Amino acid sequence: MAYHAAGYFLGFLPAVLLLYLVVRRAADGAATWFLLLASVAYYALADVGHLGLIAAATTFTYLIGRKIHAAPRGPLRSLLFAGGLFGNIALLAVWKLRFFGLGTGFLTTETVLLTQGLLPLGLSYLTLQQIAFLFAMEKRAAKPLPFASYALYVSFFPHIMLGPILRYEDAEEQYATLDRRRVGIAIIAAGLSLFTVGLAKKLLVGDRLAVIADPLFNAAAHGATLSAAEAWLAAWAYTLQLYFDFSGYSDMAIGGAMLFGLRMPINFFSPFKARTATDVFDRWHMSLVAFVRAYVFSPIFRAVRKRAPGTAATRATLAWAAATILSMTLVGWWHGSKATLVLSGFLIGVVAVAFPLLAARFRRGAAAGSPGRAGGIVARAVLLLGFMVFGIFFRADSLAAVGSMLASMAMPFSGPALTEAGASALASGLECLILLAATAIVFAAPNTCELFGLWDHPGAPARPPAVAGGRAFVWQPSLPWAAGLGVAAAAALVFSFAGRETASIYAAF
Amino acid sequence: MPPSEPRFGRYLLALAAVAAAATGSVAMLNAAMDPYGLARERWYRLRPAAFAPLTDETPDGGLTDRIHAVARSTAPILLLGTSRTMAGFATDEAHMFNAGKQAASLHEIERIMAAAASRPVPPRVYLLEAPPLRPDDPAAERFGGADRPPAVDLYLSPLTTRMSARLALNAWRGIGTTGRSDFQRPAGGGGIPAGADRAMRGDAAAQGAVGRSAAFQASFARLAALCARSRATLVVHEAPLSPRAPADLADAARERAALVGAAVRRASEGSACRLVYLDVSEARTLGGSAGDPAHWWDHLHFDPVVGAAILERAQRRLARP
Repeated sequence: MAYHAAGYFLGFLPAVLLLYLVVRRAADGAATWFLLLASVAYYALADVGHLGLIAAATTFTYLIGRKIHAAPRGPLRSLLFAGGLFGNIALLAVWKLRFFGLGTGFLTTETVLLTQGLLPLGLSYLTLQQIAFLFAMEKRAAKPLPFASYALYVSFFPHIMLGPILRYEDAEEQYATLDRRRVGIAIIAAGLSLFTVGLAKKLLVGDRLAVIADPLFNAAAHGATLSAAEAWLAAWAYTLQLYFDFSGYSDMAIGGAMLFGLRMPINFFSPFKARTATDVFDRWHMSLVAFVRAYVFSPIFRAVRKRAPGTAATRATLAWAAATILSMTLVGWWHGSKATLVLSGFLIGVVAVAFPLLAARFRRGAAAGSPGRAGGIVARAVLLLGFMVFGIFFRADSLAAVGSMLASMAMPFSGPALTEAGASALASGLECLILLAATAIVFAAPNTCELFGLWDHPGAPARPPAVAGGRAFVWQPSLPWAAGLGVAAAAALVFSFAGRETASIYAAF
Repeated sequence: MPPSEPRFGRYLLALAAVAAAATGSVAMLNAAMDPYGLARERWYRLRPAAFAPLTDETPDGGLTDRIHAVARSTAPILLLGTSRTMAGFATDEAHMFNAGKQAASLHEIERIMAAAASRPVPPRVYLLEAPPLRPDDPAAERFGGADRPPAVDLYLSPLTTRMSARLALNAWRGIGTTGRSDFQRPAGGGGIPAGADRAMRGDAAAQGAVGRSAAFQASFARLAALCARSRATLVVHEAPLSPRAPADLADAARERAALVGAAVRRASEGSACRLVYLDVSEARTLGGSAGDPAHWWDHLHFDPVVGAAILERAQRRLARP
């Protein structure tokens, strides 16, 4: 039961919310258990076959985490920690390799739907949260929660499918006080509105853009040569589709959790407004980047810096470059063992290293000061190109298809202006208008963190200072907002019956 | 000053009311226009109305609509094929029924033919335009070939809503119903699918693989069996190309004609159906003004003047033993 299915947002979610409010009033201390039961029910409805596996993995990690926390610093604690990590990583690796080794069909919605049932629902995200828990126990950065609270932390239904990944340190206080926390109508109104925005982003924008991107990528996968304009169109449409699909899902997860008084991490913060490669990583799939930074990048960085030759500055640069490239390659592998995904992770790492190094060299060579307006525009254009190339690697089935798309993009005056796939992609005026609107939104509109003032959520940037005399465009419980979101909700409901099931792109990971 | 709790309550009520009203409006429009005739017909079928482009935009591409219309018809001659047949033959419904369907696959043609063969009085002659040989079946994308999409899709889907809106607009403009489905009339230039010739070129290797596949042979065997039930005649033709068609399109057509001709010959062996392959792939050979570019919408689609020449050729061929 996906979050954008009518059965979820018109049935399961409101039913659980209403019962939750009743249970909170009726019995003190029952909130955690009720939400855990609801999460188990959600999992059972979505993927009952793997419920036992998830329960076993959760219990194993919880028990070993408690042992780690209780053990004195020494070999036993290290051994327990290593065993816990190994158990979780091995479980994920086994399932991922099994899942992705099944075939080489390209990542269409149909393929995702076909294979979705094979990978235990939410295993990728659950495993990362369990690893975060083990690190917190090993560092004694937080105390172990009671079992029910811990089980809810890893399986909370509004975000089990696709995150965001909540670090244990950020979760402990929230889950420990869940039974005592008041859930007011204000937070419910904000959560519901944010959920509706996410639903609209997924169904009214992301899915519609697939109508443009799919025929073009499928044609390239079948060996057709696209014109340059078509290849650029496909790359941009897919980049936007990926963004609206996943950020929409993240908004649904954050909004859904808010209904129960829990704050999930911010996952996207206007990534297309980034000005540097590092800035991109602070804005796209932020909870995964924060996880990787804390538990992959930092250990590698420390290890390489200790052993690398040269001066302190050289060692730091080498360690940073090695940790960045390795981390990004691992992130690529986490998305799947297809060569395109691993290679895209590696390339992102290389770009993330090369970009700041080249910029620093450029600044040293040029006059001191900021790169100026022209430099800023060039930097953003390069970043956008990077986004699109990443999208091609992410979407295309094979390296041959990637090569074909990139070759078409590089040769603007070769081939026919419009192939059959291009004609099909451009056949719907509605989708073309949505593409234009989506382009305007990603560059000019405020993001959902800014709109809903989610500055106190984990991972959110610092609240910007209010501009004197300025009036920011923010959500408020007013009639225009109710009307706009009401119409968006109705349109999303209609499009949820589009006759073509639409899985989230990220559901495959 | 932060908003008060009652204000949040009013906000939630307003949001729910607007969402319900908007959804209700869509549902009411679809119920009032009833593009699938659910309130009137036992079976899912498109309302016989004068909105030509919409017939083929139904979830099954107009297949069910044709199946039901063919089953009710009493015409002794049935024309089967793609948009080329649909656009190219002006038929008198009483004697000759045009069941051409845009982008029809062989599987879909089989289903239409099966409906005709099950009539109390089946057609005497089937004139079948061989569809393009494609490795993918476009019918498979249309609700898996189901006659009837899920109920909620019919009542609330964007496609239903779009059709309802078009129907409402037609009614407002005074375009009334005709009492017959549009596919029984030549579609004309406006109904010609753009880019069909690109689809028709296909990939020579893939086309050959399909043409020689066991599934393709089995399809023809099933068509022959349907025809044999009433000891009818099945005339299969490779529809002609415009005299100005580019060489690669003509090459693909020749290749396809050879494959279809071979399949027809194989299917005719020992069949009680009289199977005839009619080679009309060269427009010039049809005589009259069929080769005149004025009678062609594009390289593939012709107007009823060319269709009449094909019928005349078929008639002459059938007169022979």
